[in-house]
Amino acid sequence: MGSFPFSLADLEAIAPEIIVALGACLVLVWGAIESARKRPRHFAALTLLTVILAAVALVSLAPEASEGNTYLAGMIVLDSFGIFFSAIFLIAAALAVGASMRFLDDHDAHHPEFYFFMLCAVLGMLVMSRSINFISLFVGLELQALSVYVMVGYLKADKKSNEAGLKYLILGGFSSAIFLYGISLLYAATGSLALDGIREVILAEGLQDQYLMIAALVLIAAALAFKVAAVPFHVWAPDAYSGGPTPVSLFITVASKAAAFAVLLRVFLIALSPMRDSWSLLLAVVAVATMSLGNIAALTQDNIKRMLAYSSIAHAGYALMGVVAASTVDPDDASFAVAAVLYYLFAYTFMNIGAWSVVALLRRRGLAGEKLEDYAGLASRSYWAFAAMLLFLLSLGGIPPTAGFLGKWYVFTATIQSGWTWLAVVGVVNTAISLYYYLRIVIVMSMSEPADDVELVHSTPLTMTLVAAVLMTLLAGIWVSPFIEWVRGATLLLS
Amino acid sequence: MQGLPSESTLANQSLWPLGVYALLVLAMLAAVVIISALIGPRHSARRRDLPYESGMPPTGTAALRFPVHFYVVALAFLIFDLEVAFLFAWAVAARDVGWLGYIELVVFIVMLLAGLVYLWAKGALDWGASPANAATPVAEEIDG
Repeated sequence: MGSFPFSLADLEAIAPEIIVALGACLVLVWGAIESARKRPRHFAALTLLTVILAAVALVSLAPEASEGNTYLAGMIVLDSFGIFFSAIFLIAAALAVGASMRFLDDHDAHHPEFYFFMLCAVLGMLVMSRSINFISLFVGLELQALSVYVMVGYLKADKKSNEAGLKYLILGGFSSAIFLYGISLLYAATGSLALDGIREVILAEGLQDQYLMIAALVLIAAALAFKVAAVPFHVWAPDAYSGGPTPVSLFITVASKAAAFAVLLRVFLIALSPMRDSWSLLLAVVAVATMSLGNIAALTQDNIKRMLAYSSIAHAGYALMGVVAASTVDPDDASFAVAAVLYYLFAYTFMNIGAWSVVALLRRRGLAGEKLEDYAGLASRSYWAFAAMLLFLLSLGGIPPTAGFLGKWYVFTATIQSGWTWLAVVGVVNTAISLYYYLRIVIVMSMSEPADDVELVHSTPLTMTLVAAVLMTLLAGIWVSPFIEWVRGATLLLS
Repeated sequence: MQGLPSESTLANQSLWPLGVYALLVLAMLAAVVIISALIGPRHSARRRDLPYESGMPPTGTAALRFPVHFYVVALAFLIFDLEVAFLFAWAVAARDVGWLGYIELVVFIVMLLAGLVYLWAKGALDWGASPANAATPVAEEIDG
């Protein structure tokens, strides 16, 4: 009989994941037993409670994070980088619950399953951001992706939502297969699935199977570019984001994207760091294409959800610039660049959630108001909604004193410091282009006459989400030092 | 994380047996198709084009509507069938993985049990007589 190798330290280290998994099961089973349609709010509260408990567990883990210990046979790491991303996912989930409740009520689709899938997606993201082995990384990625496909297609009666979910499922499955193929080639070339193991093999033996490694690199880059919705693998994003329910888009444009960036940073800056000369230019080209296409396509949109979808593509491009900057050999500059990406994603979390929750606030004949003309005269209708939207749009456009300005400034500085000046110039030009369509919304909101059949639906949870987003967008732009300290501490332990 | 032999086998090994094999497969397939087209008997009768149903005349098209219920049951069956695959994999290594493996397996089964409870409570396992199913008579749908 085997001994008892069961270590409590392992369980302690994955406490947030365990809590979220238990919460998800509880929501599912309780929701099936209880006639849930009558009291869906209980499940929202349970989800929120789960997220808060997981956050408490995360905070209690934080002091040990600086040691960077690995758990579960080297699958999961406890480091401040993982904690930072875990915090983003939990915050996004909590805010998304607030934005979802009234929306789902109004669409007659408030079922406990929604929260089950949201918790499953969060669980997958937590695993993604803390994995240092391709096996657990892929399991987390798939759990996240499968849950998100269902959430995008969640509105059963809505054909657009169905179409979006199906498209996302098919293309997403395809990209996961590509990712897996890349992983298998990497294993064939190096004989390891651990991120640092792969790096050590490459460092020790050089690039023996150079073509195999390049093929693996390209496949992995393509799959991750799909997950962050980078050009040329972005085509699913506008359909999925604009077809899916607004609160789901709010959640996935932020959380799924951040999770994909966590994987991207870990894979490229740890496993593939010896190949940085091969991938830095590749990612730079992708970043330029992503920013430019995202912003130019957003210029012509008349549907605000599609416009925000293209804007989120563009923002992935800005963040990718930071990843390119982090490819530099100088460890200080690299760590600064990673910190810039993290800060950018942090700022983006709040400003993007804020903008999408204003979209969730607006209804046209009872359903989501998503045409640009629905926003006409918002300023005269509700001053506060207008002011909040103005703040989020300015932040997305990168205007001080908001978090978005600081995020952009930080990323551009890191890019220039690492010697990618031309890339930073492209980024600045793109920022200027993006202001046009952000301000176009502002002009429609403030200058036009309000439409008759559009209304604002107020609900306390959504208001709380909005208030939190407003506060954090301002706070992270003005009182910056604690946040900057946080992201500086959360940069990867590069060696 | 033990590495492969440091000289990767992929690049060095010669691939010509695989190529010969692929060519043989293609030649075989082509031979089957061409020879049967050349020397096969050729006569047309109405009954020859009918689908084979154990000698009985076919009763209707195969593209009929059947209750979506079957799909759910088949899906549930697959999930629990797959569970058995994991159980066997664990059983082979039961002594080596010890209590940790046992506990992990129990966690896995409890998770699946949550799924079973969900299926049950949602009525996916009720066959036929429940009020929800009675609303759409199954027999009529098959005939139509």
